Amino acid sequence: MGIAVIGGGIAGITAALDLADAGYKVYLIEKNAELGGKVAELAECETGISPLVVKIENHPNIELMLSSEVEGLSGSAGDFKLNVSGKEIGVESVVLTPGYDVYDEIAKGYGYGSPDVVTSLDFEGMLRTATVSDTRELVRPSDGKPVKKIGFIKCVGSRCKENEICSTACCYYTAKEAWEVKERYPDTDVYIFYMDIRTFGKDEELVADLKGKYGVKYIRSRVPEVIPEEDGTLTVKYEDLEKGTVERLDLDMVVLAVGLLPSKTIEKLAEITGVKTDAYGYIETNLTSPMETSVRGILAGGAATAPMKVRESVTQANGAALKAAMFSERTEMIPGQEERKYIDVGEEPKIGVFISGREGEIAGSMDLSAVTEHVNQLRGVAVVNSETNTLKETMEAVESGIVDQGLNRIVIAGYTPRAYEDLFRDACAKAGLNPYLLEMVNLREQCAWVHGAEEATAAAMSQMTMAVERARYLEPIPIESYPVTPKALVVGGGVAGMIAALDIADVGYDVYLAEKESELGGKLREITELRSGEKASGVLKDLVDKVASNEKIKVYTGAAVEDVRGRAGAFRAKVTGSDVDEEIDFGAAVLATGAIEAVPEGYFGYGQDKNVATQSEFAKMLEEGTVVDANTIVMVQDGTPGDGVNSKYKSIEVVSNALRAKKLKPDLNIFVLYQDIKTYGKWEVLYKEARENGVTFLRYDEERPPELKEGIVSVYDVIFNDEIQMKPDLVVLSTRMLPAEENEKLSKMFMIPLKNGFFLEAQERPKLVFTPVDTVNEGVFICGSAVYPAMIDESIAMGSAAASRACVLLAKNFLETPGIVSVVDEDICAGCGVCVELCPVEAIELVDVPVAAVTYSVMTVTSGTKKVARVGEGCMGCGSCASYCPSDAMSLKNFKDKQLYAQLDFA
Amino acid sequence: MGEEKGDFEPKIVGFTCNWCTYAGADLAGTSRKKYPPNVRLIRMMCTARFDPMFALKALLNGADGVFISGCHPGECHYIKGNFYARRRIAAMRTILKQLGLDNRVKSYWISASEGDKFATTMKNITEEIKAVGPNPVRDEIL
Repeated sequence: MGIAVIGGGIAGITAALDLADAGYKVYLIEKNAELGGKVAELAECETGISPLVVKIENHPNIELMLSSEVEGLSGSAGDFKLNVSGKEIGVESVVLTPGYDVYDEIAKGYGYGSPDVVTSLDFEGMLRTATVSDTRELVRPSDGKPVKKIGFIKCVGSRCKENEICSTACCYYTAKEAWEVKERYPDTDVYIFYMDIRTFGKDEELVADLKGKYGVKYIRSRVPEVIPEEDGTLTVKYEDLEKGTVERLDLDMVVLAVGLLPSKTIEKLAEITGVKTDAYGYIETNLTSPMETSVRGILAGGAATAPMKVRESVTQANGAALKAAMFSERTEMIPGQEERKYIDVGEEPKIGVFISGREGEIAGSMDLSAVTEHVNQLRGVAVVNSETNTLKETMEAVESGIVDQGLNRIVIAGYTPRAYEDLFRDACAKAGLNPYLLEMVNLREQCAWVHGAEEATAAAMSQMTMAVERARYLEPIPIESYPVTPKALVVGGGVAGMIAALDIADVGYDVYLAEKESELGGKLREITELRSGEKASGVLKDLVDKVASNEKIKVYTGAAVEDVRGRAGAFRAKVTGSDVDEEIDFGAAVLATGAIEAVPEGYFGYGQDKNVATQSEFAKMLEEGTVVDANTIVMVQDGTPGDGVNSKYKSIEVVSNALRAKKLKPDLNIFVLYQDIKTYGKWEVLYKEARENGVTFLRYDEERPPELKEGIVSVYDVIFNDEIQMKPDLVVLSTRMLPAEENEKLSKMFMIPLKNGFFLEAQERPKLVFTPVDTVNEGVFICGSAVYPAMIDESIAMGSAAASRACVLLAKNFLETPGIVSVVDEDICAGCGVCVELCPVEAIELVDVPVAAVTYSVMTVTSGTKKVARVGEGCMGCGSCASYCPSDAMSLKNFKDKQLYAQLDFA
Repeated sequence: MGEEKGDFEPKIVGFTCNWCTYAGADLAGTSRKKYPPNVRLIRMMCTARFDPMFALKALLNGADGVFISGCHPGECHYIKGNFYARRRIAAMRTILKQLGLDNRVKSYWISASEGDKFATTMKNITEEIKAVGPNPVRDEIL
């Protein structure tokens, strides 16, 4: 049978690919005529999503059902019958990824209706148009004049009566749009009207950059009014909360950051499938099972479960795919797992050049026929094809060029190799050509789009010559297959790690779970109650029991991982500890080391004053009921000094603890001193509830942080514009979060870069994360608070997502050796060992080899052995050794000196 | 002497890493940032692959300027490859100074999200090399 994925946006695409790549039959059902959903409408995403779409279209395990709708469902988990636009399909499980709609009942006061007031999604479209238009200017829709002053208004259709929850994504996408405006049109003035800035982690840095080096003005103001004037100006009337005055600002254009609503299709899908929806119309899931719906065998992911960003949607989709796979069985071949034989290419290069013009991309920006003519004259070029328009056509032309015309070097011009190299390498391999006989020229991003027509034509010719010359020197790289060890290692036994281990084991692979403490559980052991009101101890016990009773999971406590070697599919490491010293083999690794609370030593006298506690200590007091003695509590949410990062749940912790305290003692005075309350998504209702229950929120001036002197807290409140003094019985501080100590060591062993001490995900697009749990090192995945300190639902989703990605890899019988690695010419190598010292992954060692016999006229001398460098499996192909080697014995395949010189000579 | 200072179109060869600067150049493209067409990029996986010989060869081939650009410190895909490159560039400078070519070789850190910085840097280096004048080696070869 198979698995149905309903909804072909980024979440559906992600889930379908994970499943199909792991050998499951997938039906991808999309009501529109094209895949991509909302993400395809974003300004710079088409280029990011199109390789995924092509992959789906060509995937042997995916049956793509476009312009199709689900009309009925019967049966139960393991045996569903689905009626899709009149066709019946049988599946074992279903993944719902119907996505979201944007808020469209925009209040009159925003001036919507004026052509220069647009929604954020329409603005993304404008940015795209500006990208392909001749002027490349950002112009006003009404009169085509350049936009000099632009304003963004946040929270349109969210955190309001009509839609009381926070749409979560808007703060970030507004920041991203403002950044794009400033990057492209630095002279444009940008204003952002907001209530709270709810960005997290790296996105906080983006906002700081916008306020700092980009000079974007963030103006805190509730619901400004936009008045279109007769001369075309848009006057924004807003209340300056700090001065208490009404201000006016004249702008050329206004972008409304509209909120997210559950997709209208959810209601119908819920009716058909029987899944429950929540009070807001989203598919109902649970804090501790964030991808599971109320119907067994039906999973959900992405913005259909709650408003969220691309990163979180993709994470849930990865996780939902794995959960759905549990009901199904692998029936299909995995692409790339067939044996491939490559043609013998011989000495003489026969180069095929494929220029993909694509209307509006390259064709209009340069004289393509002149470029084609030029390429035709280059030595070694057998075929030039500039007739193809789509990616698919180009790939087909390449394949037939290899098979029918005997081409033995391929040059692709048009696309950036960063996103498309893998696709074209695969096309070459399919046609029987060694995939490293491919060279790509970036005529789009690095030529047509950045130079004027005449200049672009000349630059293109030069770029083409460099590529063709390089192609002449490309060599086939022998590719060997090696078996995949169908086992995983999970480092860290907190929630994310335990979930990852359980999920991988449930799919059927052996798992080693290494936890440094003597018990499993991580941070969950310190928490008393989850935000859902569930007792943490129950959830913890359930997970620990499941791990302990799972025969496929081998748990090491009090253990550390050392000495990692090998590569994706075939890693080896040591697990050491007080009672363990074992060598283990595994194909994939999941790092789930979590985060720890920083001690706010000295802040507000913490550590000396017993009436100053952290939020987690306060939670314990609530559990014990000791707060009943207090009359006044001051919570300080922001400004905690020291290392570490803010957790994503900081404000949620504050409001839910405040509410719990109020429940224990309703007449308690609670003051929250803050900068931004970040109760994202559905948590917004807790913030509202806290305010309704009398919790007082005081925002202070960033320049004048609150102080505690002799038991008195003084704070300068920006609304009252005055200093307020309080005498609390207890001060509660929010803490910063530190990365786990072992991250530093793991980062070096597994080659995963860190940011602020947390693991960094692989990131292909500059501002969008399509691979939230993948890393730059294939076969190594990250999840939970080791990536950023997250709520339990996100940690669980990330744990399942990492498991899903690991299982895609473990499903393969074999992997191919990477091509771009260093190689030693042992005859030349002098054994100096410079490369051994340099190698960032310690993949090179010196070994003794017998020296070949040397014959001096009549005498043959053998001198025993000599030391030479040998490149091991860990090589990642950076080329440090190749460029440093004093005797040129070391070279990096595909980037050999002669290949680079060939390019250089024609640069 | 052929061309005069400032009044010629310099040829500049740039060595960029795949993960940061090359991606930054892509972003300059998707953002439609215009910059002079004087620059030819050579992509390598990491600037650690940069060999000072490449810069010398480029200059001997008649390039008027050379630059090397990789990830910001601490953001290298290979943890410390960009530091290796920096060290080699520093060492190379002593030789370049003696040859009087020091001001023709530049190095930068440009990340994947710095499209504007990439375009601006390309504009600046083109201006700077124009001010330095044509590579004298070029006349000797021609």
